[in-house]
Amino acid sequence: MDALLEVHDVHLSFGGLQALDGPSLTVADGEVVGLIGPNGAGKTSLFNCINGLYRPQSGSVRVLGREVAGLPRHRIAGLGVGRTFQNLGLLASQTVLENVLAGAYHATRGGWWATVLDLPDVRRTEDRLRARALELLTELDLADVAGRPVGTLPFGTLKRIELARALVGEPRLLLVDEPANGLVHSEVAELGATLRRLATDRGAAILLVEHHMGLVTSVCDRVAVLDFGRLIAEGDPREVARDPQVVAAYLGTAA
Amino acid sequence: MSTTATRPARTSGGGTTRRGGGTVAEWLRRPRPPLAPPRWLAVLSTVGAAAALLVVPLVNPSYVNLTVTLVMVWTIVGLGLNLLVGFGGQVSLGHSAFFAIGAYAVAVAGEAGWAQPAALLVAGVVPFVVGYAIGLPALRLHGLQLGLVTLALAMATPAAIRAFEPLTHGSRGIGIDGTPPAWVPLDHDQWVYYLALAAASLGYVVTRRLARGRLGRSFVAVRDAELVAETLGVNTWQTKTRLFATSAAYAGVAGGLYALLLEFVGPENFNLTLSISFVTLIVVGGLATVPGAVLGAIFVQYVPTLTSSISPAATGATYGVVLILFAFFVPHGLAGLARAALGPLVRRVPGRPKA
Repeated sequence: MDALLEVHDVHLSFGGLQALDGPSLTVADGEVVGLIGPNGAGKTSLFNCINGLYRPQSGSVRVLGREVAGLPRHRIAGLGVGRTFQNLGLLASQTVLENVLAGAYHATRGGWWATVLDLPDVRRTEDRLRARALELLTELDLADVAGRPVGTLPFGTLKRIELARALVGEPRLLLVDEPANGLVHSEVAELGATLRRLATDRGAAILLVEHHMGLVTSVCDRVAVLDFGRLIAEGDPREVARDPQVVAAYLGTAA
Repeated sequence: MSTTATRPARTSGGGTTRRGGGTVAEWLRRPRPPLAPPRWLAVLSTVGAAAALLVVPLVNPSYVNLTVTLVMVWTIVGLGLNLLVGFGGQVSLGHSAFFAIGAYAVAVAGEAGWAQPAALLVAGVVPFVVGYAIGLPALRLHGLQLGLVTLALAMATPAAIRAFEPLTHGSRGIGIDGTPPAWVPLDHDQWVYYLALAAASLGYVVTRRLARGRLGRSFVAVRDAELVAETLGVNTWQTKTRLFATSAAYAGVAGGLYALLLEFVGPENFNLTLSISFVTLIVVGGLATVPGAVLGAIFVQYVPTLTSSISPAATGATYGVVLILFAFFVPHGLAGLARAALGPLVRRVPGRPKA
């Protein structure tokens, strides 16, 4: 199978701080890959290189075979790269539904002229999108809060709204940053099932940053471990969790 | 503002936190969705308003027509400026410049013998192009810096008009013939009224369409979280530039109508106070609301006139005080208040809300 995401030897530094020190990684269609590592290991930095928030100094990041380093961010999104943020990137003034609808921007058409002329196609797209968004909200147990401004809701709910927003655009590649943060136990299981479905049914490639090891081992096909910007292990989730180097990175080596 | 918006929901359950002033302030600041009347009510009120507006100039003396036409002129400015500032979050204190360009476009086209509707078209196109050209570099700036650049634009306008003497006739200004074409059996004030009504209605519909749906959401995303908007696929720079140019075109058409109405343009008409009144208009009317442009236009047309009858210097002070009061206490403007007042009534009306 062709890799949907190919990261090769990416270097990123801020002044003297080496955030990414040459990790390479691939994620194929329908595959869920976990990206784990201690805080500050470079997981979110790698995400930022993939969807264009950072531009790596060297190395390549390819999505669907297309080099994205240096591509404008909206073009990367247009390739079908969806993302949720660790500390939320919701539109605070808007309702839950509006936030989710905004996620379909790159996946829908309707330019200025078409909108001004209110072409039938624009209306149909909007109607379909609303139906799909409400479906997703129901699926993620958010239908009750659809009309509420997001500013009034708890953190765990906001994480699920972000996920709904990323899903409504039907991403080819989904980057999920700590989705289980703030969720209760049962919600974590549902989240895992949702991600798995997205990969298996829709063939999306998913890269998952997560500290919740239960979620990682249950949904990920493979796991990659970052430490100090370097890839220190990769493979089956359970085996990786036993790798002495990984254990040392998480717990510190015995003095 | 977002943090305060969360307060009502958190405290709504507890009676103990509901104390006098706090409750009123919170009630005023609470965000509310637009009114969603059933289709029959929406159609009825639109037809009713249209009928009333069509009859107004036939039954009123010309000075009334003049002020109502001015309300429509300000409405057009407000509709465009609210797209840029209210929805898109890009501050402009410089739209008096585009208003002036539109006014002078009509004046110069009139001198060249162009028909008025054609001149009005030019009054929209030229500011659009100029707005695009200014927006290309200016919209790389944010917040305060963008405010300062556009402020400079407004301040330079009267001097620039004098400097382009061959075209603008400098301080002498240009007289305009606003009388209707021979085939139109209307007086000057009625003719310009209908031109303004047509332009304002068109502007209203276009603004409403742009402000909702996919594009409207992209404007708000640019305003609330520019980086996030980009990761959602929004070309933020293009969006901002188009918004700027579009709002400049609105201001230009309004300026052109203003010139036809007054039948004269001179550099003194387009000073900084005009720009301030535009900003006051959208803040008082309600940022990021479409009907707010109408309510704000009514405000800037009538209220300063009222206060200046108390003291001639009161106009500037009125704008200042009102801006502060609204920014603090009524962030959703008169349109927000209208939603608060009419919302419960509209919800009780039978019939399915139109989508």
